[in-house]
Amino acid sequence: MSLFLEQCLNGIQISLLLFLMASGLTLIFGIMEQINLAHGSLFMLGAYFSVLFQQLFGSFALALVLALGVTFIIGIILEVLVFRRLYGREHLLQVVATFGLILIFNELVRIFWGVAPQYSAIPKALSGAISLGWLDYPSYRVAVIGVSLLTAIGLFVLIQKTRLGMLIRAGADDRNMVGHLGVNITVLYTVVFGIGAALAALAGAMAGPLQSVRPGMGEQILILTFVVVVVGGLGSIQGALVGSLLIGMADTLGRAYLGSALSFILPPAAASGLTNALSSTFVFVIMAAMLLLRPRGIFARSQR
Amino acid sequence: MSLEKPVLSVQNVSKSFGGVQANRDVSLDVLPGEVHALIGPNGAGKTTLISMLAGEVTPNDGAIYLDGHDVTGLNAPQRAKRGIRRSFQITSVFAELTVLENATLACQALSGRATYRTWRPIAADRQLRDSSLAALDKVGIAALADRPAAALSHGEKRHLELAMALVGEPRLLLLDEPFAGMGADETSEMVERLRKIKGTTAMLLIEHDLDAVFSLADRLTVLVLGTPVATGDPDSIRSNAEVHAAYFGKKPVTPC
Amino acid sequence: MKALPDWAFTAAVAFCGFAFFAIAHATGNAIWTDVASRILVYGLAAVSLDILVGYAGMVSFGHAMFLLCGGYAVGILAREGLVSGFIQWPVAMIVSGLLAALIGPLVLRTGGVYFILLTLAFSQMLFFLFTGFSRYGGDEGLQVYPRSEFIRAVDLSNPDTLFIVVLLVVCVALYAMQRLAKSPFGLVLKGCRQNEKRMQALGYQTFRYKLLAFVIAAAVCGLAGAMLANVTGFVSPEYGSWQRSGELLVMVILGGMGTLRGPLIGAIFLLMLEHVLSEQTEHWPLLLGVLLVLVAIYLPNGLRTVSVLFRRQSNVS
Ligand SMILES: Nc1ncnc2c1ncn2[C@@H]1O[C@H](COP(=O)(O)OP(=O)(O)OP(=O)(O)O)[C@@H](O)[C@H]1O
Ligand SMILES: [Mg+2]
Repeated sequence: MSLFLEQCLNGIQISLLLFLMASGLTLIFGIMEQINLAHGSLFMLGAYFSVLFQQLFGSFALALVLALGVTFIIGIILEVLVFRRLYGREHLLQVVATFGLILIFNELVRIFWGVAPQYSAIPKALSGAISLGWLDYPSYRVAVIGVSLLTAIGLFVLIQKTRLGMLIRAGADDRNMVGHLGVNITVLYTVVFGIGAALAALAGAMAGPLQSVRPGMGEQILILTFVVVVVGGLGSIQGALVGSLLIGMADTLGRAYLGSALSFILPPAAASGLTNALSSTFVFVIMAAMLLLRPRGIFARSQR
Repeated sequence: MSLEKPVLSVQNVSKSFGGVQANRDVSLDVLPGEVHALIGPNGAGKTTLISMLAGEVTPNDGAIYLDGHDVTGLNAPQRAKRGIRRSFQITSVFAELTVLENATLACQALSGRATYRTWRPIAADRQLRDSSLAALDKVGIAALADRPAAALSHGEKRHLELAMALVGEPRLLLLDEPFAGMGADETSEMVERLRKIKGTTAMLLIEHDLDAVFSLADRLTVLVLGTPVATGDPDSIRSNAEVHAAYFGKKPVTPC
Repeated sequence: MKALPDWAFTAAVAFCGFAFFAIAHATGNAIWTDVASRILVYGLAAVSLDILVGYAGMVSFGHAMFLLCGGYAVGILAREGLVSGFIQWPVAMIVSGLLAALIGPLVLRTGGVYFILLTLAFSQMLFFLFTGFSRYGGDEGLQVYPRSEFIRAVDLSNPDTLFIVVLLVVCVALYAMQRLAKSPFGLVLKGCRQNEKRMQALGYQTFRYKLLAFVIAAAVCGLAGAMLANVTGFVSPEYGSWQRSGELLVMVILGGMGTLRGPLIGAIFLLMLEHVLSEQTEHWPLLLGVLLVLVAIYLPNGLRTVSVLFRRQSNVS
């Protein structure tokens, strides 16, 4: 029982990291109609900068904030140099350009940090475990869940209650309308892009101690993020949240329990063979099933 | 006249997009060979209605009959195969293809299976070429056959659209502002073109150019805020007080 | 300028191939044939992708999954003792086509961006699936042994023989696809790319044509995969990695989409560039990345833009 609870908590933690990624991706798509394959690279940069600043200043919290800030600025630079020139162009070109960006960032990271995985330490204060009644759960993971939740809530407040959020919502509903409101669209786009980059960096910096920080680490989560966004509905923040929970939980629980579930119905040899293959593809099966039910995702934007 | 069975019969059709009610409880019919004009101010829901008739937009409510058969559940290609053809308010030809290829696409759409052929070059099909040229000839642009469609003038593109819609003697032609954006000369040329076709096929014609409308239409329906306010022959529409209030009261909006 | 007949390009490819072969041997660089085989195979894969991207307007970011599919078809059959190429290669095409027919309805249902993301997702699914198949090597991959066997005189473990076979097959496939591009079906695909709604208004069930295009492109790419397995003597999940799908797209873009011959040239260009750059610096992906960003922004029609500049000049006369 406590094992199951632990897996659920792990699932929630992964879901929330996915949400930080997916919300940025979906906002950028919803407002600028821009596909950004390099969103995973921003995740990676977040992790690497966090390691760098930890080494420089010795403080995890400070490193986190600095990594966020630097990636925010990189996001803005990217928007100005590259993405701005691709709005409204064919998606094919956006795909090629952002594919190029992935190559660039992975290689830059190799140049500066080498290919060996970097070690992002768990801060001392969070290195223990917290007792949650039934089980002891690592405090760091609890902190990750907490910070992600707060960020998610902050994001919803930002979108529902502030003027910037109003513009973002308007932009996601009807891109032409924002122009009529007399808002400087160029700035709005740049800011949205920066926010997306910062969210990805936050996810990356927090994921650092939980996985190895290495070149290409962004692509793994990028693919999962795409699955999330497709399942949730492109352009929808609510969709990103629901999709993240669905995919994050499915992935974690699938990996943990698919094997024992299969061994109930199949002979052991066949079950163990299938388990490997299926547990890593489980989320895609879920995705396919969801697509049959809702081809445009759970929170599909109205067709125009 | 009323003894004839209508080609198209629209019954209590409604459509809303989110909060916008584009059409409310629209009923009308189009008789064989008739030119039925649909007029109304900008945003009255004319294009939306045509899109529902063509099967591109699904109505929230109501039913659409073609020759007495319920076609409400059919999608756009299925309706096109049954003889409902449309032109678009915004010129919509295949810009990167030649004029002839545009016509060919319209012609071979009717030939079913043949469009799945992957080996025999299209150019080898003399019959298809001849029928495509004939379709262009009908609207007088056969001479432009080898030009890329993108290189045509606006008026020529409009004619090409008409040629594509006319292929295969459609049961019902839906024309969404065929004169939009045309100069006076081009408009009168197009009016002549339509006059020649008139009688051979039923037409539902949207148009803002009232002179052109009144010279072509057998009957008119006036759509205001998504609902028909009057239907009748040109004279009765001209004298209808309600129509005046709703529509002629202000100067007709210039077509866009 | 009168258009050249369909077979002219195919003949040119065959001629260049044989000329290259002769030169490589005459200059004692027989090892080049291996690289050349690889280029031809990727070229064919890129050309099949062009049917989707350049003709039907379907931007697939997972096309390499059919390389994987075709490659493993050969690898697995060889492992299980079925070595005849007359069976292996058609099976590779059929299995790839079936896979496309299976996922096609899912990825085509909404189109547009969803198509891009979903093709990527499904290719990743296949990638992970094969990573987990320990019977066939898992993520280590699978040795293709022995190579596909045709008649006794044709021994594919000899790089020269393999090159000739690959060259001939690629030429036949190229010719077939050029026919397709000029066929009624090809015209329908072009129509779908330019204005799908208009096509539907004309009476085309565009979904069916796009699905068929997806299946055909997959089968041809599966054939490329079968040949690649013989060229490298090895298949692994990497065949279907998203990087490889990206590279195929890049070949299409570089060569100019919607031309069929363009992607072949794009393949030559990209693979040679990688070859040359990787000898200069281990960080060549950086340069490639910069090139891609610049091409996407400034040369959306690929290298064709450059050639069009030249043609304009000669057309003036
Ligand atoms: N796809 C859509 N989504 C949301 N609203 C729409 C959509 N299509 C039309 N509308 C709305 O429905 C109303 C009717 O539009 P429609 O295009 O049918 O008018 P119209 O009579 O053709 O106008 P015009 O004379 O300008 O062509 C308008 O308010 C329009 O904004
Ligand atoms: Mg209209």
